[in-house]
Amino acid sequence: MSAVISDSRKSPNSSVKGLYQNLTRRYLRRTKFKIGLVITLVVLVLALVSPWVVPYPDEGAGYVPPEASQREKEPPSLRFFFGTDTRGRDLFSRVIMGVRSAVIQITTVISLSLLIGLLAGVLAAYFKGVVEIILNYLVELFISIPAVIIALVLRLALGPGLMTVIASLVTTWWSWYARITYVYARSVMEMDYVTLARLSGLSPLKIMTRHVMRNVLTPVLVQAVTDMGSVLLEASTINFLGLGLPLNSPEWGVIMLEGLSVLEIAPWISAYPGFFLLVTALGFSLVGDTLREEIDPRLRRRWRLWF
Amino acid sequence: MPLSLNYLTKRIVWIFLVIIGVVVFSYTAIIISPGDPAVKWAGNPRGPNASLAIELARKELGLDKPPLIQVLKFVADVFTGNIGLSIAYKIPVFEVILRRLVATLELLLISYLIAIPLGVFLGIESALHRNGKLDTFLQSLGTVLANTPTFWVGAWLFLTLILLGAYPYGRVDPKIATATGFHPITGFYLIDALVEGNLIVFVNILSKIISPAIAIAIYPIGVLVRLTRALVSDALLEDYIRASVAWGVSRSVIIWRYALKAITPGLVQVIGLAFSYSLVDAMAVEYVVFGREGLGSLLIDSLNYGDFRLAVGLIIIVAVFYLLVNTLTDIIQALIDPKVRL
Amino acid sequence: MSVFAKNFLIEEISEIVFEFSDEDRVFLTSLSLLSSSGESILLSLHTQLKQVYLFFRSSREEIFKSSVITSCGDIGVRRSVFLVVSIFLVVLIATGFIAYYHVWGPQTIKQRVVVYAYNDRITGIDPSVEDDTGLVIIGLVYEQLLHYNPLTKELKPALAVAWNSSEDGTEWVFRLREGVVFHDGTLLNATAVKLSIERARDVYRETGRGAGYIWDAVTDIEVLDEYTVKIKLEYPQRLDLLVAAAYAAYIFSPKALLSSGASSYLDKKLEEWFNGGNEAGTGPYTIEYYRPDSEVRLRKFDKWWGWSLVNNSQAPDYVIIKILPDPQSQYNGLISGEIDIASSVPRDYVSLLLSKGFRTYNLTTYHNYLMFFNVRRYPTNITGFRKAIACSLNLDEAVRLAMKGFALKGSGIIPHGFPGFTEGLYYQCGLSEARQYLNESGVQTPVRIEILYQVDYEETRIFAEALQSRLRDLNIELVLNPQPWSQLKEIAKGVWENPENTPHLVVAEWWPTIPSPYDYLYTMFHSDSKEWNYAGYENEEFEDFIDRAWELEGTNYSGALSLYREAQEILFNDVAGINLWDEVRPFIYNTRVELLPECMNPLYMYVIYFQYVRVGA
Repeated sequence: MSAVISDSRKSPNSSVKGLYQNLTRRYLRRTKFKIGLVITLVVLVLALVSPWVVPYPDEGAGYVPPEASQREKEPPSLRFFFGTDTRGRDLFSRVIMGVRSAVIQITTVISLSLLIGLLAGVLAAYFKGVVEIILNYLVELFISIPAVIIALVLRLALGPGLMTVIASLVTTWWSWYARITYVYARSVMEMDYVTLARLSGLSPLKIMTRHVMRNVLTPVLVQAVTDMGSVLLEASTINFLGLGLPLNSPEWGVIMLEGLSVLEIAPWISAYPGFFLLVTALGFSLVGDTLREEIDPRLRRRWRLWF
Repeated sequence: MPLSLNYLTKRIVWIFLVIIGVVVFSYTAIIISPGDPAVKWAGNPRGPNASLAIELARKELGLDKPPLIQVLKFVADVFTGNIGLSIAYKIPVFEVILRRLVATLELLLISYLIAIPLGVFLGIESALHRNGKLDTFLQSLGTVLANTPTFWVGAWLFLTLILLGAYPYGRVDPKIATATGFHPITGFYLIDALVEGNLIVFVNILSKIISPAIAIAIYPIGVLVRLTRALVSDALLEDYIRASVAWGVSRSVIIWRYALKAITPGLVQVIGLAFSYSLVDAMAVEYVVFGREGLGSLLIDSLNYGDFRLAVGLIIIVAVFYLLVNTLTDIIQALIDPKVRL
Repeated sequence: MSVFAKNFLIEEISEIVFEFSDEDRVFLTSLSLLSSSGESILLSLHTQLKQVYLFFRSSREEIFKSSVITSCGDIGVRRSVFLVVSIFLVVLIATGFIAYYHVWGPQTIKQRVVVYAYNDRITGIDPSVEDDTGLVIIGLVYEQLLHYNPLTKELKPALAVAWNSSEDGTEWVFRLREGVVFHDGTLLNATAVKLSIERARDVYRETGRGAGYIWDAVTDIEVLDEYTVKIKLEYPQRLDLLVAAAYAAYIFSPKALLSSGASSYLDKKLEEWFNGGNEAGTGPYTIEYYRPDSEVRLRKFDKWWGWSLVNNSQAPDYVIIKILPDPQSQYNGLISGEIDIASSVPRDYVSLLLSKGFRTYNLTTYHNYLMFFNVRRYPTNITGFRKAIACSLNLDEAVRLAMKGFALKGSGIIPHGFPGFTEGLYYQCGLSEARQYLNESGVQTPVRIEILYQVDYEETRIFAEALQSRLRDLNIELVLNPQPWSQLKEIAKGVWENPENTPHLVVAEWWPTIPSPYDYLYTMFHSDSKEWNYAGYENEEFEDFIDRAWELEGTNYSGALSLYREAQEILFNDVAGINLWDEVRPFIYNTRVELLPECMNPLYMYVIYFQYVRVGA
């Protein structure tokens, strides 16, 4: 194949359009994808509008109104759909506002780790030698430590808060993406058209972005979408252990922790957030799974666990 | 011998370097953390000589030296096997960690003992009834299970048992243990009870280990069902399978001997990864929900008591664990799969 | 055509091609190489191949199914293996669940075992140095010379049977009990007593650790004979009360020096030996194993001198002190029977437990919660302002809400039942007086102040929130700052160096070491005690009072007590700190055990004297 320094802004001819239509039709026909898409869309919409949709938005955010001590730990009723929590706040509001917290955590973590990971992987593949060795070492180092442990360290160092959760997750996940990128990028670097581009004097930056990055981006992005579910689960685990967001935050892991001490008398406090966690993670996972099946159909690949 | 000395030495050196990195990283993070461990080490002294106690504690902990020296000294200490005394308990950190590690390991092993046969079996059945109702059901179940938060399932199991009148806390009932003279030797309580021939304690320990084990097993079951189905479907399409069918080899032999053998390398790899992941899962669930001592309680305790020595010990142990599991998986694969040569 | 689409097509084609035989493969691969020149060729090739491929795939599914699935349809040998495995797992799980239902019958229990749930980890068990939670163990494994119960004001002989002091109170002679044997086999004598006291005193003098400051006045200990010891003091003191202190007053065997390999009694090795789980005491129980993070097992010491006096044939043979920080798990343990005595169940559950047939021992402890005012920062540096806050407090309501009734409203700094307790120091004023004080103080409202309290104590949180809503009526905004205990301490003691950044109010708890009001008043309000004086309070008159009282204890005890009373009145008028409440702790126990009144003593908090506990079958 000749060097593909093609311009994607060229107008696609009608058969290509037909191809894309074909693709989308293929996705939407699958039940798996449909369910996943529906869940994801609902989640994203809720994340945006929850403060306006929820009956008690200030309670959702963590504020305890004075009369709340009268209605602590009440079972689900018409007034409080999911019941009340240990301080008397409406659980429904808290859980729905938790969607926002979940989405913020996921998107921040994924985007930051993608950014750093892609950068690191491409740099390591392009500039061989010392850079490669150092980056490889760092990747191996951070892959060996689970996010929860890093969260412990950061919690001791930085204290509780959103920063701790995000920082610990990013520290683990960037290495994962860096490794994937590195593997792909290395194989792309072998390709003839890249060598041609280098010889023809194209600047390293242009080569890296146009050729290497473009080819590498798709599988990594698909991986990222699949990972969203597990990022959410890990973030909730960190919060559940008390290493991340403080008590009273609208976050599912935190609410479950609060509900744990009153599990026998008020099981709904821990039940609902966990269920939402399951469903959200499932949604992302289904979407990512379908995408991956399409992009990476039958070639022998290593089963990638979401870490 | 598919394992070369070259590989082993490279691996050991690598683990060494990674541990150094981990130690430096964690110790640096702790140095910059707020709070003064010297006060805790001195036992929160009272009276007129209190400040003297704190001064001495600071010297003992080595906190008066410049940070770089502290880090280097600490790395040296770790490699001579001396992580020091726990600030919270005043007993050697190593002792505490070892005991807790064994507890968590026992739990994980029992979990995987349940998860692996079940997951693989269901996966194979799913592959055999490919695209049928059983298959779709099992695959959807698998996806759901793989995305379930472990502590949620754990909480439900725990609640059910409490409501049924059982007491799933802890690893063993202390009264039964004392009355029957139970003395843990290895730390794997199940094995210890069997070795001592103590059936009552054995049943008691078993009863307490089952529910957290099930909670932790949920994730690997989900993963294995899906994985095995994919691997088995691929494996059964191989030419040699088709040849065996043509030869008239019995169906069960084809499935359970040839196909299973073919997928084992892939399975081992994934089980290794899942095992490392389950360590974190187990840590989250075992203490907070089930009150068992283990690495999870180490995590919570080091946080609550501000004990940085425990925290660092925990970090090192977990990193070593991950690295060892990875290495072990590679070695097992090398032993099983003739194509892999390390 | 974009690179993505092209690559995608190429991939699909190559994948389809993979399914074909070798000759076809060559042909098709060479075709794909032409793709650079004709995109339309690529597209049509792709479409046609796809159709062929789909046809093959569907028919291959059929082949797949027919060949493997339907041949030899019987259940093979290997399949049954897996069935057996699954059945085994089901049986395993079933056993697990069935086993919950009390497998253990009374005939297997030959010994009396009691499980006592304690809610904090053990911080160490060095008899001379330990000054925290280790008391739970030390109180059973070691003994002091005398034993004091402030409630009954009874001073009982323990290791000493007789004692007297000189006229001026600076020389005390103690006669020891004969025939007392340490757990390691050696006999108790005066040398052991001398060693124990000197160690406690000197470890404190050298390293500042422990509670050895109680022996500060001891100048010389003389061994008169094997069972008589004379202690000389620098100034007169109630040494008989001091030797009954909760900490630093325990006698251990000198053989411990040998066993630990310590070169002298100040050697760190001895401390490490003790904290490693070894002991050298005389008490009714010995340590069988020591795990400060999870449980400690004690075994009855048959050679204890006191068994004949106690006359309790039903004393437990084994005591297991289980560390369970979570009140909920203590509650569950009681219900299931795994725990016999629980030190802290959730207060809401107490009535529930009582209705289920459990019993409670309500111990009036000397554990109290105080609120300190930062007297070095505006506006709490103005006495009138502090008075206003004090008036807005409603301690009855606080006790009811925060402690669910399990506390006594505080009066003065010293708790109920403790020497020096002063009744009647309540701020008998309400909101209107509060407003008056506020106006007189000249503080402009609205004003914002901060309260610091421990994050994991629900009772302090409830108190802080109640105070918050009360202060709102005075147009004072109270900002809540919950912190973990270690942070709290760091922040609060900053009142001396950095008062402007230290919160205005600090809620902290206290329990005593020695049965003297000096313990409280000195540590919390003397300006030399900068570690624990969270108010930043400095008052020469007050300090003079308590210092004099401390010295007077040895010669004129009642005179000393009245001085302490006056000192508390000074604090009351200055509103430096308020004793919110004295905790009444319910120890819940099941019908298997019987806790007699002598089992517990508020001076030795959390220690249950198991030699008096009766265990049924």
